[in-house]
Amino acid sequence: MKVAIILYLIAAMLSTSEAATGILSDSTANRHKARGEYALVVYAGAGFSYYSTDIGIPDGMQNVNTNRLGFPASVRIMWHPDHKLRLGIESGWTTMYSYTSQIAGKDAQVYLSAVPILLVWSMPIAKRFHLFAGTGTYLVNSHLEYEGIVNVNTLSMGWMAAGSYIQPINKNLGLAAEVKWMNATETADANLTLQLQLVWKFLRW
Amino acid sequence: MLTYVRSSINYANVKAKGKNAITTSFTVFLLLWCASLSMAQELADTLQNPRIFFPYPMGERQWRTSIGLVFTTTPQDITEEVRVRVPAIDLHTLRNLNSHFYLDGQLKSQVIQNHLSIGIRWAHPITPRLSFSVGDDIGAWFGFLKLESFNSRGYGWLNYPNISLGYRLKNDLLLTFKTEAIFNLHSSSYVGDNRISYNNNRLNGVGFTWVLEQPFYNKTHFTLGVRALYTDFNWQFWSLHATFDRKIFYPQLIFGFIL
Amino acid sequence: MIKCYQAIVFLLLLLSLVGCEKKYEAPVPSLSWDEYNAPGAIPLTFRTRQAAEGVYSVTDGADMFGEQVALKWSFLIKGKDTTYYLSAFCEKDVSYIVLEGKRAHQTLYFEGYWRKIINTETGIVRFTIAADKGGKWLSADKMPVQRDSIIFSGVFGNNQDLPLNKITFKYQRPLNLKPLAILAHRGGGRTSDLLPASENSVEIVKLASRLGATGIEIDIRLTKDGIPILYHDNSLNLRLTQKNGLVGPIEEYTYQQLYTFVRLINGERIPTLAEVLDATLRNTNLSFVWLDTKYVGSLQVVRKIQKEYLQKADAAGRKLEIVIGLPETKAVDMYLALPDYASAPALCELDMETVRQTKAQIWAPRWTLGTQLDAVVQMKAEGRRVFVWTLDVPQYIQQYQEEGDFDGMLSNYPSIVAYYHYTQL
Repeated sequence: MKVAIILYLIAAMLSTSEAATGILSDSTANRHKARGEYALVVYAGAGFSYYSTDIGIPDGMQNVNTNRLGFPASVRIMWHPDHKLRLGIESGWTTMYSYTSQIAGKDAQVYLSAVPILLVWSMPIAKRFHLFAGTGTYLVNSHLEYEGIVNVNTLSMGWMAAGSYIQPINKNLGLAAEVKWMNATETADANLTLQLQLVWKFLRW
Repeated sequence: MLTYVRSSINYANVKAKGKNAITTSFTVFLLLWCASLSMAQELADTLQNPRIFFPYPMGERQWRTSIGLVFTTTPQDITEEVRVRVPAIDLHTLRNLNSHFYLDGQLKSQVIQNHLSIGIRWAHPITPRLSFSVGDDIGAWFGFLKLESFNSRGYGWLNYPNISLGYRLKNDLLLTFKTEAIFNLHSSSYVGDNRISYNNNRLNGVGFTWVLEQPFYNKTHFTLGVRALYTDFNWQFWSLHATFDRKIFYPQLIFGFIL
Repeated sequence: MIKCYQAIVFLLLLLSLVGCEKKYEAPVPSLSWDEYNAPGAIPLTFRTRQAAEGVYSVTDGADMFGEQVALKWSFLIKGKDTTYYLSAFCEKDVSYIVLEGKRAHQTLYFEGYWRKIINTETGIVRFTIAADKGGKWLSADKMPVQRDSIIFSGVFGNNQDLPLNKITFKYQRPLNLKPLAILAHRGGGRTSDLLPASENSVEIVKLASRLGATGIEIDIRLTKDGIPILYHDNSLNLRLTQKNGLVGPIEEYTYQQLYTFVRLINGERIPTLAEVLDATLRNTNLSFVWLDTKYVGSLQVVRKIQKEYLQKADAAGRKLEIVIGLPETKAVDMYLALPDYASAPALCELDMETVRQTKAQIWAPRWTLGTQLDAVVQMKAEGRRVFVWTLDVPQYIQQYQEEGDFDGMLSNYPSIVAYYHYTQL
């Protein structure tokens, strides 16, 4: 979480060098001027993920096959005020990892996935480039197939940090490529995701 | 009823003295106060943004207040499987004293345990964008826990010498980095009729805070920050009577609306 | 210029990031002292061991371990072999020393390690008792009768470093032998205290006596297939177990699944209740086991195991109490649902009326209620014993021993309970 916020703060610092522009960037505000436009923007997308930390495989497993790749999807709703700092929520779903093995001739499989529930802040740092940082909870699901099937969930505190390039399509739509680090700290699960997202400014006032 | 005073636990390599820190702070502030009074030319308050953490003279403004929440993540060492973000109400007030000095008061409340601090700041702008402050806060905490299985209460004193560095970004965004030392000067706890006290003369921990302050909605400004505490004593967990002599990491999230 | 400030801010952010959450470790140092391992050295006799026990003053090393220590022997049986350990319980920073001893001619040698349990400080320690410092006398199996008649002269070091700092213990008086049940929490201590074995494991139970315990408290849960196991938390988590991909309530998994996939922090398997009671009975001299009921369900299977091991202890002539802990009303209901509850030894943590209702032989109030002297006296007058839990603050442990009237004390730090108890005048 701290890493995410630090990344975000660094972004804030770097943002002084270049004002963000583009269809989804803020209308630059100044306190001494009248307040500008507010908008709600949804980011929805899917892509690939790579589990980026150690997989704990117990001793005694044979013929172990691990799979770190997954296909995550996410949805995020952000409030864009008339200044840089934005606020929103994010959820979705992501695979963490899975492994298969044999124990005394019997097959075993463990599969781990997570649903993030995060409070997110974002800030444009350069033309069409945006940084996101979030903190909250991951609903981690563990699926075990060995001597029966066990499918259980647990909550894990966690955070995320992401960087997006948003290509405007029209006044209200854009297409984004996003690299994101997701980290469920309590269960020590982290993955790096690459997603293609549709960005839609669906409400403005 | 006995009073036990912890005498000389091996506090590795830490020679800092809490009470000395207060004395030193007082002397430094006295000198700075004299200097500020003797300044021939008052610095104009070029910064109009409402702010609480940003280290900058208050200008014409006499009072500034914010209200918000501070969430502290419970540490595994002490709370074990109970890992939650515990909220505390956070009332933060500044009072202008002169061109460089202001008072900083803060109340953090969780009803059954509360922390009140008051301190002085000397703030100085270096450039139109960069400024800093030095300060020293005295904190007092008290708590009481009288439930089914508890008959406990406690109180204590802390000292927080601090330095803040502020950088004014574009679009009215203020970035503050604050670093502070934490001296647990005294703490007492009561369990039933039994009491123990600790009189410490040492550095218990350090804190690093990063804060963003900016416009929010209409004329409201808000504060968003994170505070990383590394300390072997955190008043919020007094009732758990942790015995670890190790620096435990307490991440805090700070949200506040500047009134 | 602005770029320069940006760089400074960036640097500050990075610097403050360093550290985050430090991982603490306190590994037991490995030991290799040539004189101790010399071919001529022989084990100490029962009389020699007995004579070496006592309260000693610390004349060198008091700044590290305090002004006095209590020396007490314990043992661990491994098959036909028994290993004897001499523990020194110290006040300063809740430190303790664990030693093994041998004798060569009229000189006694002791080698082991020390640890401060509230932090991570540890290291090697070595002692000798020279012939003219009590060695000759101890070799002749005589008991000490006067001050300074036995002198442990030694050195200690930090971590794996060669021990060079002087440490000296001088015999002062015998240990206080007034009875007190010194109970170690979670089988011997918490995982967070960085002990060499995980909490609620067979290995920590075997360590408990060296830490000063005369009994243990262990946490009982049921697996999905109804096997009582030892585990404290509701869920599988990284506080207690190594990473394996399994999360969620432990009751969702069968014993076979846990046995195959789950390792505790120090690599041990989650033990069954039967395994732990078996180790307690066969390998240790622990005399009390408190089964803390952490689940909701039937107590039948736990009662059956309790009964079986009480019978085994009786048959072996071993003094061993095993009691079912009743921490809350649900556990009381489960206990009262047992057909033979009146004959099932129990310990109740609830109010005095509930204790009477359950006919529990032991009342165990939480320490945060104070010493409750009047209530303790009343319960004792009714023929019950009173144990207080879970008391870790050294000053309170001392106060509760001096001002309270408890028969037992549960702590994560049994060594400091032992120190205050054995040194009490």
